[in-house]
Formats: sequence, C-alpha cells, structure tokens
Amino acid sequence: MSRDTEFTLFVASRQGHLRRVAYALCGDPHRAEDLLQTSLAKLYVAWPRIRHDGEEEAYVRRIMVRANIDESRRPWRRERATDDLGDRATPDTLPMEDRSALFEALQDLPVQQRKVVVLRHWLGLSIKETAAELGIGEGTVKSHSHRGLAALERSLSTR
Amino acid sequence: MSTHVDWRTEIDSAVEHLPDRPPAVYVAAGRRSLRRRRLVVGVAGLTAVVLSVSVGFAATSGGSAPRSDAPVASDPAVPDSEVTTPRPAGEPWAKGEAPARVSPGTGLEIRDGAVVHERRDNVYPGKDTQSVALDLTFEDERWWVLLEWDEGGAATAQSRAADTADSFDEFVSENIEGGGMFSAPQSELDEKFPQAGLVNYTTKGLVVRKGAEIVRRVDNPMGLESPKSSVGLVVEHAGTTTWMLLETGPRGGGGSYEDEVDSGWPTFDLWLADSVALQKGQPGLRLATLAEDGTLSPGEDGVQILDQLPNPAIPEYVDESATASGVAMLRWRGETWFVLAVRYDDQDAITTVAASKAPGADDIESFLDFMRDHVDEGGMR
Repeated sequence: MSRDTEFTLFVASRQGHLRRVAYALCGDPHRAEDLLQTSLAKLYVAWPRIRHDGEEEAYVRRIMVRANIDESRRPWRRERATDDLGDRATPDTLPMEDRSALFEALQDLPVQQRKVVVLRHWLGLSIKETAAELGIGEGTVKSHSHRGLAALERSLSTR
Repeated sequence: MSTHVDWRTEIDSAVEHLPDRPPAVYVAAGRRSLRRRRLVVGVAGLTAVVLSVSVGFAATSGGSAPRSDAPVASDPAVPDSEVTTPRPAGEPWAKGEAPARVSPGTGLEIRDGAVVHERRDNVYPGKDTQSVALDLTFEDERWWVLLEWDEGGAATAQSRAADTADSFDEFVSENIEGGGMFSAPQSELDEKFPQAGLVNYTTKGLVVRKGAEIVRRVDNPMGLESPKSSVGLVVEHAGTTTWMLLETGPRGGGGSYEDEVDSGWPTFDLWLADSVALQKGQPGLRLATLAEDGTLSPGEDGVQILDQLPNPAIPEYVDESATASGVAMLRWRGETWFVLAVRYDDQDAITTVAASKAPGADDIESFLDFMRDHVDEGGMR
C-alpha cells in the first residue's frame, strides 16, 4: 500500500481516540483539533520510519503531550473567530454545564499533573512509560499522580 | 476513596467524543509538511545565511513581537546567543515546562538563566497574531519552543531538542506549516476541498478551488456503476502538477493523488492505470517478475533487462521479514526504467521508476542512492 493509503487507514481508525486524548490534554475542541492535525502532519512526514516500527499511535501521542497547547491560563482562553468558518465539523466549545465535573476538574489540574493522569490513569501507561513519555522522573510521575487523583476525587465527591 | 474508583472508566466517560473529519484533511496537511521539509533540506545552505540576518534584525530592532527587555550577553559557545535577566515575579515555572512562555499582561517570558541560541520573530507573517520561535538551553537541557499569541490567548509548541525533529529548522518549519496553531485559513480550505486542498468531488459534481486548473480529465476510470463514479484528473496549481484518482458515492468518497514530480511513472496515463489497479487490488503494470533467489525476469513483452542485483542492501525498503528482493535496470518502449521488487508474505511490492523521474540515477547503485534519499517521502510510486 502507498503511504497515503496506509496513513488514511490509520487516521480513519484512530483519529477519534487521538482527538479525545488531545481534548483531554487541552480542554478545548478547537485546540484539540489543531493539536491533532499538527501531530498527524508530523506522523505523515515520518511515516516510513514510524510505520516500520509499528509505533504510529505512540508517536502521535508523544508529540501531543510534548507539544501541548498552552493550558495554564484558562481565564485567558482564546475564542476562535467565527466568520467564514464554512461547514467545519468541530463544534463550538461545549457549555460549561454540559461538561462533566470530572472533565472540568481534569482541566483545572496543573499541566504536568493532567498529562500524568491522562497517560497513567486513562491510557494505562506504566509509571516508567509515563516518565519516559513526558521526560520527567518516575518519582515526579508518582507525585503528580497522587496529587492529580486527589483533586479528581474531590470533584467526584461533589457530584 | 481512590481504591474504589475506576479512573480509566471515569475519565473515559468524562471526555467527549468529537466528530471525525475526513482523513483526506490530514493527508493534505501531511503532504504540505513533507513539501516544506523537502524545501528546508534543499535550501539548507541558503537558510543559514538568512538566519544570521534575521537574528541581527531581532537584536537591533526588537522584532515585531514583545521581547524580554533583557540586556544581551554572550554565550561563549554561540556567538549570537542572548542571556535573559531576571523577570518580574509571575506564575511559578513548572518542572518540565519549557523555559519560554507567554502570559496575559506580561507577554513573552524567558526563564531566568535560559540561554537563547536563536530567535525568530513573526514566524507567521501576514497573520494578526504575534509569534516567536526560540532555540534555547536551560539547566543543560536544549529546548525548541514556538509561541503564538494575540490579545485573546496563546499557544505553545515545545520540544526537547531533537525529540521530534532533526534540527531547529525542521522543528520551526513543521510547526509553522498549516498557518499556525490558531485556526488557520488553510484548514478551512482543506474542508472545502478535501482532496489535496484542490478539489471537492461528490455525487453533486466536481468543484475546483480558485486558482487551480484541470488540464486533463478522465471520466470513470474505475468503471464504477451509478450512483458511484470516479474521475482521473491532472490539476495544476501554483506551479505544481498533481495527478488524482477520485471516487465518490452516496456514502462518501476518497481517492489518491500525487504530485507529478513525486511519481516514478513518466506519464499520467501510466500513473492512472497503476492507481486504478491498486484500488481494485490488482497487481498493475509489472515490468519485471521476481524469483525466489532475487532474480528479476521481463514481465511484459519487449522488456530488456540491462542489469540487475539480487538482494540489494537497502534496509530502508527491504527489512528482515522480506523473503526475496531484487533490483533491475531495464529498457522498455524506448525508455530506461528501474524496478525494485520486494516479497513480503508471498506478495510482491513492486516499485517502478522511469529513469527520467530519477535524477542522477544512471545505474543500479545510483538508483538505490536515489531511493534512499526518498525514503522519508515514502519512496516513489
């Protein structure tokens, strides 16, 4: 199969999951889309090497967690211009009331805590894998994990 | 409480499913990135000259983006580097955070002690955002950071050097392709013209983006029955010729396309025939056939094998799972060709390249060099 065909099959099968990972990381559907597109473009360029290694999804995820959209200044969140958007498929930001308390709590975590929680407790990476993915120590992963989950627990207890 | 919470399930339930987009949108973005990368590689020498000019401009004028008001000091290792002075106390820097960021009211912040080796301002000229790309070191760790911001917010792409790109040039070019981290008009174009950003082919018809021209059209080369249909196109836009095979039907469509310069086929007709065969799961035109010992034999009438090499040392294309491989230079219909054949799981992957589409390849060794040079672009088709 050609690169385009293989890449298209990969995107068709995994874009939904990867878009959710991006959304969990940055908390905004538009930024998630931008992040996903940027990451998939890198994957396309590196496709022969990555495809050979069978690491397509891990490669995209690694780019997304390391080239993350700036998150920590949520009150300063940028609104996408609304003119001339055509029939773009991505929806507007969901109303706050429709977003779960847990998702909100996840977005309120400091960036590194959030990344650790997403990788370790949603995607199921080990402590070692999470540390390698984020380029931080295993002790730091444990610390972020503990604090992050504690914050999420508090959000669940208020549901 | 934590021992009773199934976090994976809880988080999975909390993260919304967002709508899918046509994969062609991402293929188009990837192809633009690839073209950009080729351009960077091709003009690397020129880029070095341009960069030294831009660094000088930034140092004397301050560039277009807000800058640290730091005095400039020298990094002994890098003549054009800058050292920042302490900044007003702000948000604490997180461990693992890149040593440059943008904050509301503060603008660009570069972490105290960071050494800036290279800075490029306004990497999205023409956009109403501010932007800067930085190559910097903090606490013995080299970072590449690209920031884009306006009054409403900021976006950051950051990478530890060489993690996701081979050079700062590549990091910058890959991150600026597509028009930036804020919504880019390019994405809207991709939505309207999902096939290569050039055309939109649906059951309602064919729409071509402004500025693109269809110079040749072959109706229904796939032989599909209504309401499905297909079309082969040669499209010219901005000096680039693109070959396309598109399908459409009530449930959507798709297709393949390739810039003429990237195809090993010398003519659109041969590319189209090969693409149709590929879509139908047929072998297509095969100028040579592969034997178990790596020997290639003529696969069409009139083919003359000029030279060949069984089991070529080209691991970029022939890995250890291949059971047979061979490369040949041959003559057919008055033209010289190269064929690389690799057998995986009893199926032969045949790459056919006309010598006229492989600049510098005049024998098997130089052809293998050509193919190695093209491995990151997926080889030739």
